[in-house]
Order: sequence, then structure tokens, then C-alpha cells
Amino acid sequence: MEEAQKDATLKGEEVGNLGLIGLRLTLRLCYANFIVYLVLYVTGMYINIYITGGVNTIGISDLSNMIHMVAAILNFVFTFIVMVVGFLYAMRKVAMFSLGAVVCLIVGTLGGIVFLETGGGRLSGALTLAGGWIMSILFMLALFLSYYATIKVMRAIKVLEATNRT
Amino acid sequence: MLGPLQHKAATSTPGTNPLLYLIYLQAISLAFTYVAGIWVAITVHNISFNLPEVLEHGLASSVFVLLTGLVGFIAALQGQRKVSIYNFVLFLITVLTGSTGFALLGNPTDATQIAITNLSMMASVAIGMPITGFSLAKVSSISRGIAQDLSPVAFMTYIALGALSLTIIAGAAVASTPLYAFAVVTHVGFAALTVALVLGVLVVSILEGSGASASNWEPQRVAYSLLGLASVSVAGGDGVIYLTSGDLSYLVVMAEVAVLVYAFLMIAIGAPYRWGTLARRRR
Repeated sequence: MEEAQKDATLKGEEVGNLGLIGLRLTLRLCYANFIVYLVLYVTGMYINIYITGGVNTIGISDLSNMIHMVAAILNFVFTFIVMVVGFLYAMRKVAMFSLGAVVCLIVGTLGGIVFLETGGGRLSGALTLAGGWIMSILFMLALFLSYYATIKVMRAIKVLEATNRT
Repeated sequence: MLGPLQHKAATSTPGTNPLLYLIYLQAISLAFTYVAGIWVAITVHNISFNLPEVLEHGLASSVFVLLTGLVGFIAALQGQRKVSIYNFVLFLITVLTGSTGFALLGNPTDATQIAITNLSMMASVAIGMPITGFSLAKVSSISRGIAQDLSPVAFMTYIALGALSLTIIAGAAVASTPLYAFAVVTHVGFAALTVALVLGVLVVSILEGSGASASNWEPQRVAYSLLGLASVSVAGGDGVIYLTSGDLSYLVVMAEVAVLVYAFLMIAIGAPYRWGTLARRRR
């Protein structure tokens, strides 16, 4: 590809200054984050359907809750790392989408704490249900925002590969 | 990961590596986690996750695990393999030990669960100390564009941080009745080793300024290792007073002064100025 053609391809693209190898590493982290999102979703649904589905409550030390919380920690750390990489290596969209996901996860976690603290069951009251709904809705929003950040990283990789830049 | 040339370009400009600041933040959050954890272990009897002390400890440890993951990944992007791997291992250990905290919150009166949580969390803090020390020494030497050879001072400081870590783990085991006698002896032994090693760091730092190697002398390292020696001596004194008086406040002070030893050793290992730099600035 001619140099002018390469410059035209790069124009308007947000490739940052991380380089191809670094971008690929970040993409792997994004994939790992989606696996964690899946674990978070499955354990959350398990708790929702099989544990708190009737009149049961869930405690902080229940095994399924502990797995869910460890997954939530990993999910938050991975999303936060992608956000910082976006800020440090000049990928504004990656940074902003991930920042949105991080904010959603923080507020969603607060919803989870409210859920546990106010009873931890479906029949524990309106506040418990509100905490649960906040947690679920913001989790989905965080998932979508992380997805868009990943798309931007993939786009940057494709542009750099197309222009043979490293 | 970046290749050697890209890595050098990315990290050789003095004062521009954000990783350095992240490691300092990581060390500060580790110190806060430790102090808040000691405070919870000694002062809170009916532990519950909505207590302010527990929330502070949880918040500090969350920041620590977040920064550990971040340091590990940014180090990987900059091609610093060892820093990355060590921080990744520390990240996994910290997440796992954090889950023992969740188990404790569910069973706050179970003696076995208390012992498991105390020991695993202390082990996590203790493993974090030499790893953050190593990361800081490695990244700061690269940022300042100096040789990465392991100097005698750096080597001795790593061992001192390791000995301090083992002192802390043995100190946590003192709370467990079956391990009490063994833990006390081990704790005192490692504490003595830590004092000896911090003294060694001070002596070697001073000796660096004599003879042909005067250009390597770092006056800040001498000052901070001296402060570290003073802190470790005060911590030892507090431990002795606690044993004789049984006053728990001395135990809290001992733990908090131990954090100062860690902090001074960390600053000594990443001493930001070299003698030659200071001399040039004066001119």
C-alpha cells in the first residue's frame, strides 16, 4: 500500500500509540472480561432463580455469592484496566466507553450491597428489590459499554494491520 | 508485549513513566489495607460488613487489588516481564484471600475461619511488600535510565522486605492458640533479622559513598534507611511493651510503625535522586 493511501486509511481512525502488540494484548484482556461477564451473569441468575426465587435469602458467605463477588472483582479490575489503557495510550473512545462501564459497575455494586444489607431475598421489601434491579440493569449497560470499547480496540488492530504499521 | 527497542523507547524518558506513580499508589494502598486490617482484627469483635472499620479495610484492599492488576498489565504492555508476572500472581493471591474475608463475614464467630482469614490476608500483605519493592526498584531504575544490575543495597533491601513480610505473617499466627509458642519465637526471630538487614542497608548505603563508587552514592537512601532502622526499633520496643503490659494499643502502634519501615524501605529502594543529579542541579 502506498504511503499516501496508508495515511488516508489512518485518517479519522483512533489507533492510539499503544502499538499492534499492545493492542492485541488489550484485546485478549477484553475477551477475558467477557468470560468473567458470563460467569457473573450465570452465578447471578443461579442466585436469582434457585436461591432467592422463593422466600429464601442469600448471605455474604454462601458459595454462589462468593463466586459471584470474586467474578465481580475481576470484572471491575479488567474494565478499569481497559479504561486506563485507553486514557494512557490516546484511545479516547475506548477510555470513555470503559469509563461508562466502570461507573455502571460501581453503582451496580452499590445496588448489590443494598440487596444484601436489606435482607437479601425477594420478599425482603421494596428497597431490596430496588437494589437488585439497579444491579441487574447497570450490569447489562456495563456489558454493552465494554462491548463497544472492545469493538474500538478491534478496529484499531484492523487499521494497523491494513496499513502494515506496528 | 513490546519488543526490547519499543520497550526502551517507552520507558527510558526520565519522569514520564506513569507506571512508577501507579506502583507508589499501590504501595500506599497496601499500607492502608494493612493498617485498617490490623485495626479491624484488634478492635472489632462482632464483625459485620456494614461497620465503618470493615468498609474502610474493604475499600483500601479493593484499591490495592485494582492497582496490582493495573500495574501488572501496564508492565506487560511495556515489556517488563518479571514485574508483570509477579504482580499478576499477587493479584490472584489477593483476590483469593479477599474471598476468605467474605467467608469470615458470614461466619464471624468461627475460630477456624478467623485464623484462616487472618493468616491468608497477612500472607497476601506480606507477599505484596517485596513484590511492590521489586517493581518499584526495577521501574524506577529504567525510568532514570540507569543500569539495571542488582546492587548490594537493592539486594539487601529486597531481603529486608522479605524478612519484614515473614515477621508480619508470624505475628498474625500469634493470635491462633495452637500456633502461639511457635509463632512468638518465629515472629521475634524474623523481627531481629529485619532489624539486622535494615542496619545492613544503612551501612552498605553509606559505604557506597566511599572509594571509587562515590558517583553511585544516594544520600536519600542513607536518610531513609536510617529512618527505617529507627522505625523498626520502635516497633520492636512496642512489641516488648505489649508482651509485658498486655495493652492492645501498643500492638496497634507496633503494626502501624511496621508500615513505616515498609514505606521507608520502599522510598530508599526507589530513591528519586542520585548524587550526580543533585550536583548538576547545584551547578
